[in-house]
Amino acid sequence: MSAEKFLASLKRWFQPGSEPPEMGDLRRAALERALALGVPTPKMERWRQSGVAKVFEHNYSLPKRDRLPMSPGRCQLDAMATTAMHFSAGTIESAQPLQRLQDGVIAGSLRAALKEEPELVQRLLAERGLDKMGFFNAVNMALFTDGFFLHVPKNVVLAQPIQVIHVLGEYRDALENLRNFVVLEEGAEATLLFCDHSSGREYGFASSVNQFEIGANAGFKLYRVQNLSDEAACFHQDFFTQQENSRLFSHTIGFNGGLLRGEAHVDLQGKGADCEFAGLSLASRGQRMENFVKVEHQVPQCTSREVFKNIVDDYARGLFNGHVLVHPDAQKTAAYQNNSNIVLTDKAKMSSRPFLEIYADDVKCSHGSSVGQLDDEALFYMRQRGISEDNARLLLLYAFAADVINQIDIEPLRRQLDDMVKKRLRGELPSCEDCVLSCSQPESEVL
Amino acid sequence: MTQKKNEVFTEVTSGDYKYGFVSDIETEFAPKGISEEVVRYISAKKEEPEWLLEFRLKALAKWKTMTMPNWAHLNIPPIDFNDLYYYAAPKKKKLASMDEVDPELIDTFNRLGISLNEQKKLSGVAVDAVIDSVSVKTTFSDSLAELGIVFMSFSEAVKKHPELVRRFVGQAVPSGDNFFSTLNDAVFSDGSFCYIPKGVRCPMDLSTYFRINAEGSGQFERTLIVADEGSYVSYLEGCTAPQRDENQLHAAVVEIILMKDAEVKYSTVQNWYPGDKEGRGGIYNFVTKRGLCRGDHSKLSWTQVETGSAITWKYPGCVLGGDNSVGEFYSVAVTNNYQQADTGSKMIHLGKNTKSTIISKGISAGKSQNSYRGLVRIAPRATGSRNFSQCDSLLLSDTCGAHTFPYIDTANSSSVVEHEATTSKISEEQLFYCQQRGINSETAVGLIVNGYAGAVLKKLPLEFAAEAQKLLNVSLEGSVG
Amino acid sequence: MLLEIKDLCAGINGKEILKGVNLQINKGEVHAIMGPNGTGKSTLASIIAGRPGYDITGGDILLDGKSLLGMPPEQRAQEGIFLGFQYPVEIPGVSMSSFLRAAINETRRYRGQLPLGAVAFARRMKEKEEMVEIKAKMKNRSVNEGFSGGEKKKNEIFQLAMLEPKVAILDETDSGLDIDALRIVAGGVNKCKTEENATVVITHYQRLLEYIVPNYVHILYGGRVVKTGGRELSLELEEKGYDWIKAQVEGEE
Repeated sequence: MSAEKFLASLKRWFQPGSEPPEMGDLRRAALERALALGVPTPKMERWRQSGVAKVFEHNYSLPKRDRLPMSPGRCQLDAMATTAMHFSAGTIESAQPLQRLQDGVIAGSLRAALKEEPELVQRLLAERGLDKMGFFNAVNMALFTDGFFLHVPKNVVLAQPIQVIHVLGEYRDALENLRNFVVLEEGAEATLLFCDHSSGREYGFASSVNQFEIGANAGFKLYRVQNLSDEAACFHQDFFTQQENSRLFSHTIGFNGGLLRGEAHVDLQGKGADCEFAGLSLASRGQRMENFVKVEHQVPQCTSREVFKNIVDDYARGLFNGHVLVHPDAQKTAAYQNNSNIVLTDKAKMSSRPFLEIYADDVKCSHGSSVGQLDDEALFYMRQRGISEDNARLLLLYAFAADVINQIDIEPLRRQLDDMVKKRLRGELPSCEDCVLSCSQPESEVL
Repeated sequence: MTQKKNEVFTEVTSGDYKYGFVSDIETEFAPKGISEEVVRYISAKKEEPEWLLEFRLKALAKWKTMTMPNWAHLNIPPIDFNDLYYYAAPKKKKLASMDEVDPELIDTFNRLGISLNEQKKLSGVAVDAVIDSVSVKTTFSDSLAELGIVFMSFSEAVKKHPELVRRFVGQAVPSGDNFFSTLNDAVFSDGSFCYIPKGVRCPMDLSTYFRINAEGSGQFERTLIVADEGSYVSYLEGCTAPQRDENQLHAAVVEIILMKDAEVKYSTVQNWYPGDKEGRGGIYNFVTKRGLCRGDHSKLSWTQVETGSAITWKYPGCVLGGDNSVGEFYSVAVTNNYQQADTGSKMIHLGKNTKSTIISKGISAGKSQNSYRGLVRIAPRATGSRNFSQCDSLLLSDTCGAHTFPYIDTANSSSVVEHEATTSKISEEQLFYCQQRGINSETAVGLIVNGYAGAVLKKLPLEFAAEAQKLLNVSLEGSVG
Repeated sequence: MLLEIKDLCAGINGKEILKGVNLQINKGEVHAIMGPNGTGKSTLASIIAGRPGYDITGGDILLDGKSLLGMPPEQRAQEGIFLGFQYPVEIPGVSMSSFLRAAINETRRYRGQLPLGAVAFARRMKEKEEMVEIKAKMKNRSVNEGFSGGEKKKNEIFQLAMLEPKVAILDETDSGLDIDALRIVAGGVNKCKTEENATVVITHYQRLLEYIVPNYVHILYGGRVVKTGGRELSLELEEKGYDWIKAQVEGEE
């Protein structure tokens, strides 16, 4: 499929259906926006070095419900109490799509929420305006089938993390658009774990747009685990808005996937807001993993920290695109951006673009980017102690990844992901046909 | 920042441009605008061989299909390329000796502090002076010739050494490379040519001074430096322009070719007219500078102090083709008032064990925008290569911007690339310390900025360094915060 | 004979450093290699351990009659060569315990032994800590990371005790140690000595040899062993300085 064909298909796929008319208008406007923008290409500054072109090479079909990829409940985290929500073939897998949890917390399907809480949801959907919407965001708005919805009222602390599992369908050339909304009112706290998987070996493209509103003094933690087949493409775009003294922690590990692209757009709108990003991408074979992070310091006294690490093996490609934008009034900003990478072969490639754009003077901003390989002296030291070269390399690679893993503050999750990283580095973690979280049992041995 | 300090800073940085005089020299223009006719006019004026005219016409055709790049962090007002003179020359023709040089012109150079007169040999710098579009006089040509060094105007070299020019022109900056270089390919008027033969160490710094004088004219000079095996040369470039209300276009190309074991140091002090305090006038400086380290173990070092121009678009680069070749880029870029600069470097590693270093110090004041943009690319076969980049920005006001846009692409497993950058404002602690010792704030800012830029300034040849230091102070007169 | 070095010639980047080194080391012996700076002492140690980057241009190194030259560094270690580094590298992120367990178990596997389980490993550690009187800094610490100079050297000796090699080569283990640390390190080395293994101490000064008493002292100069003697040679050297050796060697030439 070409870009033109993709655009033409958009119109064909577009069926507003049984939703309220306002919703239909919004979707139609988004469709127009997408058509007007045209598809992104690597020639555009923001998409340079990206593998985005791959997405337009396929003849997509929209989600089919004829085959369920997995039964709910298999995706359990050992020793970690969670509320789990499953999405597959573009909709939630649950008899009770919208749940009322503790203290007025609403969690579940966005579609259901649209029926049950139409005003709230429509306000959220329309909030960000179309004029800034990028291509994939607009396409998502026009076509999204469902998504996860979470509303945490003022000063409510969510008792346990919610795990949102999305499995890309098994049929060939699937195109799935999910839209997730999370609203944390003032002083609320929540932790989410997003797991992205694919159920089959066929090519498919999952695109999610996620809007996170973090109220004053609220605290939000987002963990994301991605383990898809080498055929799958998965894009997610996170939009965070943060009010006064709110805290955000976003943690992503990309284990497998043909083309994984994560975008995070952070608007620090309230004084004293703080955000922290940690990311680890482990790309091998022909995989491409891309991270795009834009943090906008709109007001004074906000802080942001980003650490993204990539290990690029075989003929894989990694891309880090960071952008810290400090607006004129955002005095006393502290921003830190770091991107460290290891390129393991002469066919692998890593591109790093850590940008700083600063319009205020009383700031402390810095960034660092490095691309290198394993420390020869450390390798020799280990080999001198009798550790084989392969294992010495593994230990060093694991050490490189460890400080990202160690930022996970839920111990059972940390242990499980730690174990998965080790397996991945050994080449023993496939992109599972089932949920990886159930097939991976933590080991007691270190190696 | 306190109100009072703001005032002090404004006072410190709003210094007037000291080189903004207009020389009253009779000038000959090509017809306004750009066309095949104008290109033919320029080529005919210079009595060029057919191949060079073809080179120009091919570039013109290509240029017409190109659009101005818009990726830079610059706000460039639309430029009417047909409302410019592409050729402007002081009218007097063949100059047999210094006596025939227009006294007004000599006066111009004297005011710029350039010794054009060969009697002033003591200054020890061989100078090729380019005023508007034409190379006026090259000093020391004869004594350099004894060593086999060719140092003359580009047009003279086309006549006297056509084989050298033809062989090397377009090697580092290929025809059609980018919008501005292609424009230059088509309409370049003159510039300097320099060839250092095998094994020769050029005994003196070679220098080019550029000055735009004529109203409404663009300047498109072209410099070509070829350093043959094992040779060495240090090359200085200085630029000034008169103060004018309208913007003037400067789109130069500098190409440097280095053979095995050759070393070239290219230093620039760019002080084109930056426009006035309200942002009126000033030079648009869209320059393509690139060196090709063709030979193994060759080394090219770019050092630039950029204080002038209303808009600067410039990325001196090194293509490190030879194994073990070395590229360096040291830059201080100062912007004040409404100046905009988007400048940095390109280091393309192709050979094995190649090394590059980028040290960039940006200083922004007033309402200016100052961006570092740099590309480091390590090709798959450039094994064992290394880059280190350090890009720091200093902010002297709360109305300016300082930006850092590094692009790093690595495609092998044995190279190491490190990039670091910091952005901060001038330390109030340091300012206060100086003031407490009785140093007025204007001097203190100058001291601190000079210290901040020190690592780069010390890479400049001695006489240039002193000038650059003065220039930094002048450029920032009336600014800090 | 445990370790035999025969006519070893080697260099780096085309520069010849070792120009025919001969050494014979038997079980139960302690050998000291002394000599001025830049004579190839550390190079010799590195080459025995198989550090990449050197060119071996002649001769051989035999451990129990088996040539080490074709072996990668880990195999030499597994065969029983231990190098105590002059500058032990810091390895951030790799914990001491995972490092040491990997080292021990890979060596055991090479020797056809079963891997040491977690309990046995802990027991061995405790045993060795007591034996060498060095408390291992294991808990949640990366290899050598943030260790002081003295701690790094003590850590080397602790690893020596844990790994039980046939030949321990200690490259300037005394450098940068104060007198108390020196005593602890030397004490540890002595505790590791048995009738079955051998120790090679590379040092500038004879100070260390007051604690680790050698059977033989070799003087390496200009890439060759120019003098071999007993303990008294190091004392003579201390008294007369290296110029004496230089004068002697140059006198012969």
